[in-house]
Amino acid sequence: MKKYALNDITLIQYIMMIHGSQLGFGLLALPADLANYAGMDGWISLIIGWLLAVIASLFIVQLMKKHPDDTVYDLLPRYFGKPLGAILNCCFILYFLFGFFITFIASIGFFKIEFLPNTPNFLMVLLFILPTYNLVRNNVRVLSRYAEITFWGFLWIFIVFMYPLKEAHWLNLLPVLRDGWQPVFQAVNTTCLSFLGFEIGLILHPFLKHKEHAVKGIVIGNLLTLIIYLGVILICFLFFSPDDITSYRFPTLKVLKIIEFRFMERIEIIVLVGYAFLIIRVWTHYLFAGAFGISRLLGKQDHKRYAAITLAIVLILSTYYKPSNIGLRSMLKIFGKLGWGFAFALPIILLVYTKVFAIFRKGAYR
Amino acid sequence: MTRFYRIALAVLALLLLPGCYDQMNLEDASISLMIGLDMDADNNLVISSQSPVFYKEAREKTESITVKSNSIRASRNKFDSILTGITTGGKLQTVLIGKRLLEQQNWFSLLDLYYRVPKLTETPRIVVVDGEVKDIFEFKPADKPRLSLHIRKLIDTAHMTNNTVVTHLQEFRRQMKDKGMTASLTYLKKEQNDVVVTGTALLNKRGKLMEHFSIMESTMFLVMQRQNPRGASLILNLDEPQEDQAVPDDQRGIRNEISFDIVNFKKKVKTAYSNGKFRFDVGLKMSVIITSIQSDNKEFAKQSQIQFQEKIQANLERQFDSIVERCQKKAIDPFGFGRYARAYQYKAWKPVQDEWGQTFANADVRMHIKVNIKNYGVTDLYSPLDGQ
Repeated sequence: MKKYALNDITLIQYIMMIHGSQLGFGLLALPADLANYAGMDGWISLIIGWLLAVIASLFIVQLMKKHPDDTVYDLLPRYFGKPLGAILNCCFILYFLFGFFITFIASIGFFKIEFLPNTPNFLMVLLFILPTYNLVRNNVRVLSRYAEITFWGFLWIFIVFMYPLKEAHWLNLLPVLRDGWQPVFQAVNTTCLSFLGFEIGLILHPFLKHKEHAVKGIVIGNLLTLIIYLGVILICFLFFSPDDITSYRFPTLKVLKIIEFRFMERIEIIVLVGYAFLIIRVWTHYLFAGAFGISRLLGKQDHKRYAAITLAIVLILSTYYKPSNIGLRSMLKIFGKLGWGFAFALPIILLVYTKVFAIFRKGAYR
Repeated sequence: MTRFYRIALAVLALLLLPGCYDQMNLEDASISLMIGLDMDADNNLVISSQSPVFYKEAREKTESITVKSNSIRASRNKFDSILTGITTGGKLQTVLIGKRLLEQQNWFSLLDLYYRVPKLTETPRIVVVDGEVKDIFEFKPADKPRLSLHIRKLIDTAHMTNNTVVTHLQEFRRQMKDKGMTASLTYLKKEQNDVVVTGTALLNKRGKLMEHFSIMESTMFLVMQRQNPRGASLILNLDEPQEDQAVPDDQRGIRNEISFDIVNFKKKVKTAYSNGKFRFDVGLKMSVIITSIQSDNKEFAKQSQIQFQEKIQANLERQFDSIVERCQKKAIDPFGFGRYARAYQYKAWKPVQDEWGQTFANADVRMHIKVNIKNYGVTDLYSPLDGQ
């Protein structure tokens, strides 16, 4: 039986969902993080990180292919039995909710410091929670429509990023591989966190209308992210001195500060507001994945209620718990480590497991 | 019922609107457009600020204020206790730095505020003042717009005609922090009735003023610096000691002078390293349009294109050599040769990157200039048949 028949999404929507879950907070600090480990060779690390992400994505598609109408929440009980499957599902739900929480809190902290440093935390949280709920209470189709329309609608942001190129210094990029390959590999770890988000494919697969395009979709989704990351990183590398780029916390935004037109200055404020429309996709997708998981776990149809409860908890939490910059950074690091497990390692393990499973119990589960 | 909830929610949201704690009403703000940093004779930091006044009753349209203070942030408190509004720096246009301040160690850290606080802008022009900053703030020109806007415009237009560099805060930070170059800033001077751009101030890595380029040298510096010096116009004095001069040299009013615009420009730097010494071969290829030839000597004006090209080349080469040499003597590298060294001779660069100035002083820089006269304009000074 097709459980999600009414909700299917097109290939382009699938691509945008994958891409939208990836393009988030990571973009703002990425150039500095990369330069920290790999200097001006960070772009090579980024491409390696992308390759890893694509490989992991392909594994996810392979894993989902066998039972095209299952999300990961249906898949796990199928393979591991009800009790063990429920526990594993809980792990996934917690992972997605943690992903939601950390991206949400980190982004709000960022908007707070850039825009409204004196406004209390819970007001900021409230400001973002209302649209988030409005979006997340819908089904996949609406989410993916939002992902698509914001992508096309805010493409101009990347045109604005071209402006600082007039002060580009191409010499900065030379010499390539100045200190050998080792620092390049060290930085790959950082890029992993930036590409996280493709694991939403674990949920999305049954919703995709033409499943034969899943491989194409997930690769293109990753590719879009790579192109945007690479462009932004190169612009930052060309603009800032290699000796100084690491002293900026958010070089991606700093680079926009020099834009001035005759009629307008401080373009970065407008870009940042535009970026808010894009970045909301990341945590909304994670929240959806988490809330959807809870509703599956409890056997309910509607995930709306669980999303609302989660948001209410976050709102209450935000009045008491205000993580510092350092706290946020370490939490993002933890999420990065979890990401290695859930998005990169787990699909591979599961795929191997299913192969073994299939050998032992041939034809039993069809 | 749902409608009731919706309206209630909307009203609640409205009630939260005053919760924008960061609002600032324009009439409460004193918008600082120009700020000046200087040292007085007793080595106190003196900070000046200028902001426009919007009140109808006020006769003066700008207010200027100068206080002694230890930092920019501390000066703001003093400004606030004197000025009508709350001082905001988000619209700052120009930062003037006094010459005496440049003598201080690490004065650059004074500007930290501007990089750290996201509310402030990064595009104010940063300018070195030859003399006291206070004089400029006290200056009230009758025939100019508000001084703070006038100075900003002055610098920008002077840059458009290649008379000086224009360095905003972000660019200045890059120049200070990049190990392969030193900073160059606009150089201003307050004269009797005017504020005058006098060229380019060159700082060393510690921010000390080491040397300055005149306007003509600034043009050459910009030509060398930039990839595309569109429309840079150079004027060369091609006087040569002549044997049979009719008039003694010091009485001649009309000089042999040729001026031209650069229309096409190519720069190529070859970097080599041998025997502990860097060598830079700078090839500058330019196509020019002659805009004027003046001379008291008919023969001079009637030279062939090749003769002119050679003379211009030799003259330019001498001048470029001299500005590079002067910088080398002072161990500064405003040209950014260090960045070429880093890009192409990384192994040799790495051990010397922290004292690049000294290394550059010993480097061998050779200019190779090729001038191609594309166009003589539409009229010659003398008809080619004249004097045949």
